[in-house]
Amino acid sequence: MKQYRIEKRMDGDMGNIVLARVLAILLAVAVTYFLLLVSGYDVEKSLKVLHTLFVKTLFTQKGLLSSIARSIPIMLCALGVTIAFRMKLWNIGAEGQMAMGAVAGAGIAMAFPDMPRIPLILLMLFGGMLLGMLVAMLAGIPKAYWNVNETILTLMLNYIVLLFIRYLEVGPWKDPNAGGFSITPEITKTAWFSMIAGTRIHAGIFIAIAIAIIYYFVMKKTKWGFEVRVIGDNPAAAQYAGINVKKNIIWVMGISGAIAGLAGVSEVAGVVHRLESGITGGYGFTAVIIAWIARLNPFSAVGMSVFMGALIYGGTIVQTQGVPFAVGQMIQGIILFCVLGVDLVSRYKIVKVG
Amino acid sequence: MKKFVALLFATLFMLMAMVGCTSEPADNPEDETSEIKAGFVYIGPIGDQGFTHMHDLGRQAVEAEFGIETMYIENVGETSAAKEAIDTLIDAGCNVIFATSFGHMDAMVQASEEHPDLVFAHFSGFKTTENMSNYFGRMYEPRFLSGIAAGHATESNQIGYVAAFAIPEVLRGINAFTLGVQSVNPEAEVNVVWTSDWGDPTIGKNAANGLLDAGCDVIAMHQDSPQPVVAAAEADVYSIGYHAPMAQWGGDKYLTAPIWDVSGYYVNTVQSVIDGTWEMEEYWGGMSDGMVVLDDFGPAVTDEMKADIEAATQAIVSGEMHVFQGPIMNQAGEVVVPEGVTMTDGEMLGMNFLVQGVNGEVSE
Repeated sequence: MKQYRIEKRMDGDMGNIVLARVLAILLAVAVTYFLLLVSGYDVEKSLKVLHTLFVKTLFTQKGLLSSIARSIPIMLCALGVTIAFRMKLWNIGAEGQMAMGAVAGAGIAMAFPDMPRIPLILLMLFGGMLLGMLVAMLAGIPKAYWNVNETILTLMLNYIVLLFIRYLEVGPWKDPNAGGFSITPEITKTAWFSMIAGTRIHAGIFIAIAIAIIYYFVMKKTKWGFEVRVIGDNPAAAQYAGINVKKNIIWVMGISGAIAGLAGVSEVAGVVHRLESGITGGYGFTAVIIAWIARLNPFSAVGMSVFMGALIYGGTIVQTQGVPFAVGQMIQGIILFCVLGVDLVSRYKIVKVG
Repeated sequence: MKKFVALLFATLFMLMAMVGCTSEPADNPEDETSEIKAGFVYIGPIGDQGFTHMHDLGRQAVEAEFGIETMYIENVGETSAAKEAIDTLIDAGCNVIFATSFGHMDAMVQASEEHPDLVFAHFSGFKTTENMSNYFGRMYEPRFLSGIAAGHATESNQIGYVAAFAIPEVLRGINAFTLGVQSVNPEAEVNVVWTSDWGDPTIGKNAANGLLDAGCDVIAMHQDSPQPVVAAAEADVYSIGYHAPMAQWGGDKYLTAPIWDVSGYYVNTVQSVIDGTWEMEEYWGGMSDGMVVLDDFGPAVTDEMKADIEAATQAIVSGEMHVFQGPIMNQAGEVVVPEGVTMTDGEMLGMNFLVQGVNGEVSE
């Protein structure tokens, strides 16, 4: 008698990954269609909603550009957490690290309104990276020396930083010319990122893509990248091989936070033009899912962020067709669930035994 | 294997194309530029039973009045989402755009500058452009009236007030309410707790429960959800709602609520756009315009309360009395508005103090 067994697949079969993605999207489309039908939309309306969600947002010029615009902060945060995840450091503090980057970006722009454009923006980017890095290291150092759970630390730090922004907003950074409203002043126009004309896409996209490329080469081609990968796969082996695990934990955490900090600067300089409490918009948490779906591949993370941007943007435009926000959210959830589910299943195969 | 993948791709694209074909002719905004279409950007969900719900009633009033198409985007955060939502409404053919939260302001300014041919109106902000008005309500008027009911109802002379953020709008509400309380019951104190949150139901309810534990026997609030009223009803204590009628949650001891009625503003604005008479304005409508009103009285409102509230309503609407007329003292007992002086609109819009009789601090 023949028996069957579930076995883990070896990594790296591109065909499989692509197959899993396509299957997941087909499944998501089917489930969404079914959900719309049972929610009381007729066939024509349901197809129209599907068309909006999957075609308009990704396969029309305007839609794709809007989706990309929405994806920039997700992209940067996802790249940030990817590097930490690669070392199995569960940094879920991208939200707070991004927020701290925003504090630095806005603070520097407010402090030096007369500085010329290029040095000012460079200083903002540097400051954002530095503060994002420091927040992440607050979790990285206890992790490295006392093995304190970094998931909890990074999660809690998020709330501290978000409340710190609230404090700045109602306290020291409150704009005295805003008629008593609790908002911080608009940053000087010289610090605003350039926009791609006719879109909401700002220069942050180039930063994100550059980071993806740098990340890829550092991980694949440098000794340090190799060390990070070894620590991620087997910390004990890394220790025996003479790799300084403690130092790497702190630095990888720091770099992870620095990249998320760039997301904060780019939201301030590219979109909101001031520091405000809602600035992180949950992107730091979304990034965790994206890094996971992208299987920690930087280019895949960029692509998946655009996909996520499309889902969010799609959720906005279907509302103009009378589909409530909650249904849009449900559809988003279903799609992510399908992608993650199929991805998990595709990592295994059934083999015949005997 | 490769063939299978290729086949799957082909199927996927065919499916996309099919979906594409069936619905493309339906959206063609270019044909409809001559028609008026109103778009609304909401901060919360239309089912919040409070703030956004009232704005959505206004949207429905516009639809019913003119038979034109309206659309809305809900849960629009005060981030890049705001500009995206406005652009989406414009893409869908809207030519009158309303945004209902303070933090949508900069996105509205930007959109109004990009589309000088469209009409924009922003709720609760302070910026305008040539084609962007702002609108708001003198909520302090019905707040004062609801304070009269609270002042009569309290027996412990401790009134609880669940407040969101210490910004002028909220401070104005607390002060107007307290002045209303004191107009009939100078002994009563108003105890404020800050939630640092507009709409979270759990936070609102917990804050109210804290006030109830401290001995308050009337609960008033500045929150987007009705949960403080629910907490009061569960403790069998008097409650005053906000934003929308909340009698259904308040039980027997529901008194009333200062509420919005933005329908009139929305209908008038759309009417002026249709007539071609629209002009930019900074509109701050009071009870005389019907922009803000007091909800119907609950079962616990006595004849004495009704008489006092009706007298005050008359005085406010006729302009005989102003809520913020001197003498008004701050918490430290210093005179902020001397006798015979009334606060200007600018002073009220920038209010940054709490009046005597309020327990709580301006800085959160």
